[in-house]
Amino acid sequence: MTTYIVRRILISLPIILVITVIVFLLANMMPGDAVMAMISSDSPMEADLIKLRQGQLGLDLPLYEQYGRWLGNLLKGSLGYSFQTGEPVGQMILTRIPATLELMGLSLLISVILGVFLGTISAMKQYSPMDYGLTLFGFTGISIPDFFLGMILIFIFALKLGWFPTSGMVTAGTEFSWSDNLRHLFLPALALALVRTSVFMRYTRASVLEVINEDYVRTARAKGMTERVVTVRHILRNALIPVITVIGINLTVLFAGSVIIETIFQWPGIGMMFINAIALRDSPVIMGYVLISAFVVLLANLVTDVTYSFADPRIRYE
Amino acid sequence: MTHLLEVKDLVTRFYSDGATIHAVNGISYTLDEGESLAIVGESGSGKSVGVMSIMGLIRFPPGRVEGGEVLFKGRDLLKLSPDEMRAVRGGEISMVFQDPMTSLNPVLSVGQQLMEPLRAHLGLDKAAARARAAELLSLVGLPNAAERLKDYPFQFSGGQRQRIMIAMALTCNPSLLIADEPTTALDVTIQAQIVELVKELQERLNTAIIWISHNLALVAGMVDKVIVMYSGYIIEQAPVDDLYEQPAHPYTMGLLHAIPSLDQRNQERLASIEGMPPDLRKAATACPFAPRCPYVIDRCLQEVPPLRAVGPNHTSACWRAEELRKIHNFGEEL
Repeated sequence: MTTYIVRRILISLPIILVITVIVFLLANMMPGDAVMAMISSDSPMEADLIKLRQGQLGLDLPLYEQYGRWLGNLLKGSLGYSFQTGEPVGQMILTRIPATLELMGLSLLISVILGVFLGTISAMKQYSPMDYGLTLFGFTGISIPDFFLGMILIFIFALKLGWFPTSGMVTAGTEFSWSDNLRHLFLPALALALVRTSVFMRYTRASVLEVINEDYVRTARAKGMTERVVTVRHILRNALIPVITVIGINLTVLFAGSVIIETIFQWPGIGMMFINAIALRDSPVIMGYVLISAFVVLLANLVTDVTYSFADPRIRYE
Repeated sequence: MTHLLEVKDLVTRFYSDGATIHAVNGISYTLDEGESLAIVGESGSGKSVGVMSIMGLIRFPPGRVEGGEVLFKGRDLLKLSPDEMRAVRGGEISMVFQDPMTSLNPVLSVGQQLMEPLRAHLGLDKAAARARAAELLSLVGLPNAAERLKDYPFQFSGGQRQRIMIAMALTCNPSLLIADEPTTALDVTIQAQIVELVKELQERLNTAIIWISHNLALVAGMVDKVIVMYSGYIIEQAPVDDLYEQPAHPYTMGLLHAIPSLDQRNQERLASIEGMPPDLRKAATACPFAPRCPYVIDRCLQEVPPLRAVGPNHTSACWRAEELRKIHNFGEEL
């Protein structure tokens, strides 16, 4: 298992490298640069100022040299400094990532629990009104983009009903408390979770339906097991194996989705940091974020594979 | 004397795509303690559905037991609550299925699966259940039983898995064991081993057995009596020797003719029964075998022949049973 994990990481390194090159080129193909974003065009000595600042940031160097510098710093363990604030990028990511993980974590928890639960009910009561209702809910959920859902949630639950705050992570000017934090977290987490819930629900339903008529399920009933034991230990235990892969793939989708949701809800995670960095052409921050996302994808795949092997003895013993 | 099992007028139907499938149409039979019975018939004759109905394993939708009684030790199983029925299933009546490759849960260890009924029905604690599980595995002839409890089904061969299924069926010393074509999916040599094993265990534990098969030759040597089913009806029932020597239904005769024998010449084709199995979507208004029967008379096409006595303990659902028994004395032919 350890050799396998190490091998997987080594294979991923060149892929990550290629991704950084592509993103670096894309970031530089965008019109304008960090300096133009910070200096007002009304300034009398605009041209000189821009030139000076570009020189300071190394933006006047050829592209390959800029990339080389970035890569050199990376090998020394530094992600560089933000063009806009001068803050070390590594530091920026470290302070913001807990917020993103909190958002992702709760979304994942909601969507997995709800998705598996509803999917199982939907399959066990196939073709019942309940199943049709859940199917409708599922297709609606899959069809609504999460940013739109986020805005609907803000409109209904924050603006009209006033049950939850519209944005932010804590109420400004108050001391940090978990209840306040969770109240802020609920709407963005829900917006992010609902699409995933629908996806997990549909996959669980299909998977349970496949297992439900297996001979070993009949064996379990013939042994006199209760419906609960039959459902949980014999049906779900088998049906969830393929769902693990779907959840794994969606970890990365969740990470990507958090960019939009964080921006809509002003959630101070790295997704919002990334959007701001793009607006300000802050390429060290953009590159830092991309590196982190590549790492997240790699980690998600690895975790999926390892979980899979624990869930299925046939793979574990190979 | 009360019987261990008494099935009376059992009717089971399936509903799919607006059609009604008449799977089992009022079958009745009895089984005494320690007795063994074979139910034979072709695919779709209702033999499996019949025993699944006894076990309460027909699920609605699509299927439902719609009539009759299943008296087991005097209690009607069809009237039991789900909880009471669960105690019977795997406790007093247990079942071995056709395909051992798919009948075991692939992600649970064999030990876990064997221990489940021990803990549920007998209330054993983990250690006791494990000890008993190992004991059962050695009983069915698996070597290194104690160590193999932690292994998963895919680590066993087909024959071994069927032995595990049998061990699982025997966990609670059932009074009735139902074997639903347990050897069909196995090699011929393994088949013989499994048959031997079941016979030996039956004698040792004095369990009554219902052995379901489409293979008349296979069951000949191991049961006391035979029921032949066709199109959801019992068409003949007799003590095993009587059935083989003097069958009283054209269908049974056809089945006996279809058994290949060793002295058959190479050029000779295997005997078969002409025609197609009946359409179960229509309720029978005539003898269901009439379209394929070489001895058909007008009466066969007008009424469903009832099952009636044609000899001691021998019943047949054929209008011409007596004539046929005189024509065909298999005892002399064989």
